Amino acid sequence: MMCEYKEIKDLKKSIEERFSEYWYKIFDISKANFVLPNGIKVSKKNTNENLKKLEKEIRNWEESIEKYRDGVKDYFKLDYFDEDSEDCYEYSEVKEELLAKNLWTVSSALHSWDPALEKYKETFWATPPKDIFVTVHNILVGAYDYMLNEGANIKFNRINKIEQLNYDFLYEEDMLLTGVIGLGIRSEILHRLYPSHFPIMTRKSIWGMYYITGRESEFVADEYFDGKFRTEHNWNYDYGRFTFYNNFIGNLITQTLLENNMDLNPQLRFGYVNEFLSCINEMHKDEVEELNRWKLMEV
Amino acid sequence: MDKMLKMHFSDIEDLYDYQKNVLDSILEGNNSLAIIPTGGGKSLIYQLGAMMLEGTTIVISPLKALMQEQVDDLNSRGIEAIAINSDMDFQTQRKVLKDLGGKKPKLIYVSPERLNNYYFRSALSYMERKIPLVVIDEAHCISQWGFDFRPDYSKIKPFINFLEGIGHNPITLALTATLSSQPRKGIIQEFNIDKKNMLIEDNVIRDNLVLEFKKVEKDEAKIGEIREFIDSKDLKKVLVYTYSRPKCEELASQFDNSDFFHARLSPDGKLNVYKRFKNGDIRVLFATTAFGMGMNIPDIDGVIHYQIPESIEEYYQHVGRGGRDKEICPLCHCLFLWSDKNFDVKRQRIESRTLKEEELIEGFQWINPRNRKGFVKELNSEELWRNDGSKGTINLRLMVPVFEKYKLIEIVGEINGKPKSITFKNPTKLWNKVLSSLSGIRNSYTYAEKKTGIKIQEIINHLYEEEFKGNIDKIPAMEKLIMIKVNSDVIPEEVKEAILKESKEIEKHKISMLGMLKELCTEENKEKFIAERLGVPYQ
Repeated sequence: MMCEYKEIKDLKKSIEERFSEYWYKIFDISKANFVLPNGIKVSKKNTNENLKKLEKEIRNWEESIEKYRDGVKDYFKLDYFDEDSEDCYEYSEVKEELLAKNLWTVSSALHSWDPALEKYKETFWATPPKDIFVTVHNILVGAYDYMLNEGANIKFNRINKIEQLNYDFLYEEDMLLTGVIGLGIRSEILHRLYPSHFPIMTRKSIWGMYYITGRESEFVADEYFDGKFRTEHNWNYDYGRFTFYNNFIGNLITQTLLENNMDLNPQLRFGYVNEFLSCINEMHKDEVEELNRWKLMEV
Repeated sequence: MDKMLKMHFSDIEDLYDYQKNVLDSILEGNNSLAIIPTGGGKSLIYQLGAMMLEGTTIVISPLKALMQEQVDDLNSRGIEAIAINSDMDFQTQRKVLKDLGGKKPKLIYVSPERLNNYYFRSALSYMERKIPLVVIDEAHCISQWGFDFRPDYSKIKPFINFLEGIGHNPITLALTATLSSQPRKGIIQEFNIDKKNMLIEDNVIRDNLVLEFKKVEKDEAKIGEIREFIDSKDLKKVLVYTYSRPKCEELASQFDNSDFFHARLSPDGKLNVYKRFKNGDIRVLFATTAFGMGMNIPDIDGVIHYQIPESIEEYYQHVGRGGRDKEICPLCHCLFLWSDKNFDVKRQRIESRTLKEEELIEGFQWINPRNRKGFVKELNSEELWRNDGSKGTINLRLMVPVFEKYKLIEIVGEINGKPKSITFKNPTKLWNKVLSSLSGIRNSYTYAEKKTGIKIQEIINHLYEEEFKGNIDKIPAMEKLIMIKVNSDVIPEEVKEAILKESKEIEKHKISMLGMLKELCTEENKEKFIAERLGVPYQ
């Protein structure tokens, strides 16, 4: 799926315009457990009590990010992928346990009733476990090398171009597996291991981007199936570009909290952004549901 | 025999000679093969046989809907019978199996996919009754040489070996309506049937089927031909065979008072269409071969082939659905629509199903990816189910029985659920040891064996012992594993050659069967030609 991307500066401007609006709204509503129950105005005029509440909620985010990461990060140890190691995984363990049960993006697709995901299920089960093992291994080795060689050099608050992320390794061959490990699933693996450097590209976070950019069409795609259509998140969105915008939002969050004398844990950088985008998605969930509903095509 | 018939089947006056002959053969303790036309009273033979033999007879049948129908009928006659198949929900199956030890059924109907299941096997081990007879209904499904080969049927022979292993010595009775000479040879060999115990009913060739063949230039012309045929003969209940689900639905939408039937319909959906067709609410039913064995409708007066089958054997089984009760349906008109292109396409299909070397290697790699002899692969049934050679997948479903036949692998059983998905009411010491060996994502019996030293077989035996004690709370219904022991690191060259040679021979055989079907299209005396090709009497 080819996609026309808008100028970066225009999108950054759109995000900047809406960031504060969403930030306030998120901390004003009380639907999810990670938002503040009562109205908090995040500004220098805030009362100490409100700031404490905000801090508490930010720590809740952190807890949730760490819990999400800690759940599986040990399962991705390179030793388990070393064919010479006695503890090396069976190929089928990576397929049926690690991916199918422990990666949220895969397990939700395999358990979905959405007819459009039937093709995913077919391909997943028809793919030899070894191919999946090899691709996951490639991603892990690539990410490990990246963190070793580039990780410390990346200055997130100074990134102005996508190329500065040095994500070239992700565009090499065998870093995806057609029909089985796409950009979203790969992003979950990377994010689970290194939330400091890799964002997670989920349905919710892409819809969040759609709204914070002022309904920018590059984040959505029309899908057609069996005489019906719907608008779905663009699961094929370029990951480097997605990271770039996530980083921009990450900078805005850091800056806002700094103004309130609050620090963020840099190890969880893209986890905060994911929480923030998921909150935006939650705020628009009725509209997302409606866009996402299959509708008959008019003849 | 007569006394038993009167006692349990008082509505049936007498047995036909061929029924008596088959019964005599099994009562004398002979493994037997009987070829009896559809509607010829096959089931009565083994039901009566079961009543005359001491113990519980096992009937293996692919016809799940029919199983329940027969069980209900037998129960209403005061004969205890049960059915176990995959149409039953998993918890019901568990209950039936758990209760088996305390019951004394004369017949157990089981679908072939259950035969490797540990719970089924262990239930039989716990049952303190003899198993004197194993009946293989629709036995033509065993043969890879035949038109309706079903990989699950390859579980039958190992199942009989299993029964022998636990002290039973059952006689085997294979029953079918149609079986040409090549598959016949295979069955006789596999089940040690003496040629004299192969019993063929004299009237396999029916005299109330009017066979017509019509060549068309293009498929588009077939719709008009069907309409004209139905109208000119004033047919009331017509079955039209196609081989594609979408085609089936598309055609049904073009005819009044019609519907469709194919494998994708839910069990309820199938039953509903079947009943409406049977009751005369549907005049024209477009069906794939999913509408076939076991469908007992007495008054179908028209059978039309919109798409062509692969052999005379298959063709004759299809038309055999018509005119089953001569009294209410004295004649059934059959129309076979064909073109040269239809035969070319069919031939290509047959060729595409032949196993290729790279496919074999890929299939074996799937099961034994690290070339370890003695390794036990826990194959997820979802993988086996979805990899059937369609939609560009490799045909694991076909290859697994082939590998087993060539002793490259050995299926040691099937089990529902990986260790972590099974919940005990009161976890035992052994089970706690198994679970504590599984850290992280590890969740396999092989890994537990490696870490604890407890053999897989022992773990599984323990599981089913606890199941029968009622100590297992939860077993996942959907997660099924086929335990495959690998006997070879790679496929030896000579075995590979033998498999490929056999596969090629099967292809050659099937293409020759297709050729005969084409000959039939222009043959004058069709019945005689069919009888000769099927190796059955022609009167």
